Amino acid sequence: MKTWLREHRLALHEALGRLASQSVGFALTVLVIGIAAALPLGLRLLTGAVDVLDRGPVATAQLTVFATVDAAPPVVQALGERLGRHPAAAGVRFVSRDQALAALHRDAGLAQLMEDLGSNPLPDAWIVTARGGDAAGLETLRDEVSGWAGVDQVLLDADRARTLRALAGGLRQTARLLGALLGVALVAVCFSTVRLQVLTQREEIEVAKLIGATDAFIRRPYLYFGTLQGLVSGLVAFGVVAGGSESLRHALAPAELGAVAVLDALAPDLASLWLAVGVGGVLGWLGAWLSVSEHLRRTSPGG
Amino acid sequence: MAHDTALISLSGVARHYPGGVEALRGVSLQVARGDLVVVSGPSGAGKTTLLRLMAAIERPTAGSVLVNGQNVAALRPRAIPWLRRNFGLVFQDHKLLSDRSLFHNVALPLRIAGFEPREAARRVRAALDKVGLLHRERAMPAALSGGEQQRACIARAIVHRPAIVLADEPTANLDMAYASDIVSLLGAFHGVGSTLVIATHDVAAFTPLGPRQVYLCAGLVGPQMQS
Ligand SMILES: Nc1ncnc2c1ncn2[C@@H]1O[C@H](COP(=O)(O)OP(=O)(O)OP(=O)(O)O)[C@@H](O)[C@H]1O
Ligand SMILES: [Mg+2]
Repeated sequence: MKTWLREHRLALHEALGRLASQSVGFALTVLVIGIAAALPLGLRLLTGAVDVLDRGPVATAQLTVFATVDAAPPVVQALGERLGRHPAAAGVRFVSRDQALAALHRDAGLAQLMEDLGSNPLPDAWIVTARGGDAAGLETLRDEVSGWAGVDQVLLDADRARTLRALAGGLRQTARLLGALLGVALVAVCFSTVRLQVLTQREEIEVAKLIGATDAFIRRPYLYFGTLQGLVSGLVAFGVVAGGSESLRHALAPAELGAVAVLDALAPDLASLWLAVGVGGVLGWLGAWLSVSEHLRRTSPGG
Repeated sequence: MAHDTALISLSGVARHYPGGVEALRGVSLQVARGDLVVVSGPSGAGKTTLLRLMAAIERPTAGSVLVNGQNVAALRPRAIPWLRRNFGLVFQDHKLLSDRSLFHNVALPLRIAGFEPREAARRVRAALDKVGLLHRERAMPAALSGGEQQRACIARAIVHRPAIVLADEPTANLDMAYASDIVSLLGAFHGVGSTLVIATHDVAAFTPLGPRQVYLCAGLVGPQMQS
């Protein structure tokens, strides 16, 4: 056990030595892989955020009913009551045009625009929560309500939910595909960087074999090197995503995305860190293993 | 000499290379534990090939090579490194690692065998001292003279105290004084029980050790002489 530990310590030491002797090449490689790998990792986070949006309150079976802008208050009131009485409506929340305007005013960028407009261009609206909430029922309700006098437009939030779900699905698939491609790329890059090392150390490998080194002994420092390269690439990817998500969160904060949960979902979590570093390490190891094994197979003496 | 007591036993060993080269053409040779064998013969006779077969660096085209009773050709590839650790090899072309210091070169067999670093360092220095290179332990091989490289190679071959030393032209690049130093060093190593097989053009240098002489010519063993 003690010997085993020492062997590994020495191999790691050797790998670090090689790393130090070609630190620029190592840094560049790790940067390239890391930045590339940040893409699927970032997409993964984005997918999570879209999932949260999808699961959030905006995605419940809701209709937004807009009155015409010029609808008189009695008409508006009648419409509200009629909506409230409708058997398919479980709840109706009135958002007056003044409330809507006030909400827009809170957004600094739009306030000036509103003032320039002079009058309030917004209609009164109701947010109707549908009973049951299956898509077909909602659509029937929408078609019915859009026909009422004084109703300008009815928006079905389920459309949005469906879009979100499709978006999340698409993102997830893209993330997986990119992740797989980058995994292959990482193995290939480690394969070739380790191959370069193996070729410069060919003499050493040959002599070590001649005087009794096992394949495992020869492979060990290269495996450490490959693993380190993968680990650090994963760290770089995580760093890039963390930085990117931080700035994205800043950009999104004032907008009314509503749910804090969405912003939280955009923050890179520990799982992403482990995923990036773990997958990076394993793939780096694999690339190195394949590289050295291929060399050993080609040069195996005794022919 | 009885077949079963031989440490190394070659029977009917042939080694052909692509292109119709017949480096060995049916060599039978027994090396007993504690033997000191000097293999001589003209250039191209097959001396190096013979040593390489003994260390399982090459496989015979025909015949069998037994080391410690094990048929080398039948060994699993995984077993070969363990077999090689019984040997100390002095290569005709030294095979020192050009990017490692003398110390690290000599330490390599100990590294491979998993020696504790402090014990390894002690042994490396002892071996370097024996070949008169202790003061050069930090030097890179390129900074050593041909003879010094030769001695470094011998230090590396004996540092792990192998049971068998296979030395290919160990005195080739040495002047008389150092050659006789190396001869007595190898003699001392033989004296503590190691088995030595030495391939050389310079049989006379080793006669003081009273070796068994094997004459190799064109891949065949000539009349074996006992001096
Ligand atoms: N890898 C090889 N491929 C083809 N031919 C080879 C190979 N190795 C050795 N030979 C040939 O085998 C023959 C014996 O070579 P070997 O090196 O064993 O001779 P040697 O007795 O050690 O010679 P020297 O005294 O010059 O070192 C030579 O003709 C050589 O050219
Ligand atoms: Mg030779």
